[in-house]
Amino acid sequence: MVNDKRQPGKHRPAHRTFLRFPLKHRIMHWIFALSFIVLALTGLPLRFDGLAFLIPVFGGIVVVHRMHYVAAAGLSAVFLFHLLLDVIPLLRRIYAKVSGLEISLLLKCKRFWHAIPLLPHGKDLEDVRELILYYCNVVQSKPQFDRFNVHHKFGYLAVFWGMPVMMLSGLAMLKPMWVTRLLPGDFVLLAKLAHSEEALLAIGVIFVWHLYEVRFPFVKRMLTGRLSEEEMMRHHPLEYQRILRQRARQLRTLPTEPAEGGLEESSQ
Amino acid sequence: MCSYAPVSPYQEQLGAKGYEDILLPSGEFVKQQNAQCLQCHHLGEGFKYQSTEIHKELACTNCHIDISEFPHLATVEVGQRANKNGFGQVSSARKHFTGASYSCITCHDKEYADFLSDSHGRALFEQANFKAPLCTDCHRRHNPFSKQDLRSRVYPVNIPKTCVRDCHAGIEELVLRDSTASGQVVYESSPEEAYFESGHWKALKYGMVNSAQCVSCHTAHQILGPDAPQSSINMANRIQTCGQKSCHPQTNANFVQAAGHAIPSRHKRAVLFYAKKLFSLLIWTVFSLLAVYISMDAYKRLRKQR
Repeated sequence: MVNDKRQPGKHRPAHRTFLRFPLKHRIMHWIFALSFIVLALTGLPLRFDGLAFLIPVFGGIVVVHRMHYVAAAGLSAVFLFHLLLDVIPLLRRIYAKVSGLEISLLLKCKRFWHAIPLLPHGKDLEDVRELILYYCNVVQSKPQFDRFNVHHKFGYLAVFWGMPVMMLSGLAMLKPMWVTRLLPGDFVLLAKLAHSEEALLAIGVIFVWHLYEVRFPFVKRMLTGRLSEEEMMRHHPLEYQRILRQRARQLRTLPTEPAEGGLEESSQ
Repeated sequence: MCSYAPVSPYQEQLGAKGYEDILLPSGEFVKQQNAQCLQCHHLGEGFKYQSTEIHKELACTNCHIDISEFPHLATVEVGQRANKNGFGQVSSARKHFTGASYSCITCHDKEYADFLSDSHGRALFEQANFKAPLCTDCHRRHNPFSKQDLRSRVYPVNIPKTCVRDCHAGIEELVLRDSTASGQVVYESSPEEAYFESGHWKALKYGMVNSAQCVSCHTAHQILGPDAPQSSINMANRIQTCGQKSCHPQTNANFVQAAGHAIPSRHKRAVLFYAKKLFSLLIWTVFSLLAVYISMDAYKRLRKQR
């Protein structure tokens, strides 16, 4: 929301910050991160004989199993809450706007896909091309990104694909008798394979790529959830411009509606 | 009953009665008798025998049955005598042990009866394959500990190493290459390695003594290949084997198909084989793309800072 009407002049912001991660998402992120670290630390020694010396360090196989299950519950809960609190409301909001339209038509509609911010859009393909050109020293500047750039989308979709794989395969390993009541035994082995390979992928991506991308002071940004105006201009220029346009529009027509996209901006 | 199956001289003498009927010398008599042996044999394994817990009431001559007078025969000749009793071609290194196994039968006749019809016993007695194990290969000769004893070779946690260390490291591959007509290698690497990667092994090693080791599924003295109808790992019997009380009591026919430690190959569990290939392709693609991206990005960043 725009705070300009609050005592104009007196507390004019020295620098404005933009809310990127609301409290809900920050809490979810840290539960997810903690669970992920515990899962990796307990899962790797279960997978690799070379790391199995960590099992007695944690207090034996039974404790390691329990830690893995508890952390898995944490991770799954975050994922399910994300579906319940973010994904489903978004889809319902979009659907309410176009209610009456047939789903098959809706799926063909470009604006429907663009309303879901973390799906890959046409612009992302161009961004990838421009990024490659940038890294090959052909062009001098990176492409202009919106709220979510190619990296974010790739990471998000990787997690969105990985979570169901890990949850289902983990459940199949935890309760193999449930699975084999209906399916052949090879599914348990397949679950075992998928669980360990997908976990390796996730651990590699998170601990190498994610930590490289966020860099210093990464913890601070995820604790306050805010970006400075300068960071905003540099990393999310399109979003920044949109927020400014929105604010200008809201100032023209006195605010009656909340800003789109759940974005909030405040002054300090 | 197999043709080479030896009969213990004790059993001949006693008319094949059970070991309960054999009057074992005990107490002071044994001590005196063993002391005589240990006058000479105090430096070797015989000396350690004094500290053993099981078999402590046995005299040396209860197992070394060929030795009845002094001076006694050399061990090579003991082996030759065993040979005469039906062990076929004994390689010189195994002669002594063959003779030693031969006297275990006297008391452990039940285990012996099982052993005769299992793969190890048949290899030994029918094919005269002296690489096949004798009693003393898995159970120690002079210090046979109880299977609850941590030092025992047949303590659950030690069993995988006992089976794999000397014998089953890669043996299946060789056996199968010989036995399949087309000469295909069914396993691409040793299935024992797959066991050591498994959850069963890690659970066993780090605190769950009930977890499955070799003997839990293959049995101790009734080891048979998967095609034999009485085999514990035959598909028809697997529900009983996997469904043991302390293992997976609620098992079902689909679940037991997944049991085992075969390495997936093009011929066996092809779905798993290709799924594994696919996953490694995915992992290597993603990781190499990330490596390229990160190095290029880091390079750009460093250039900019200068």
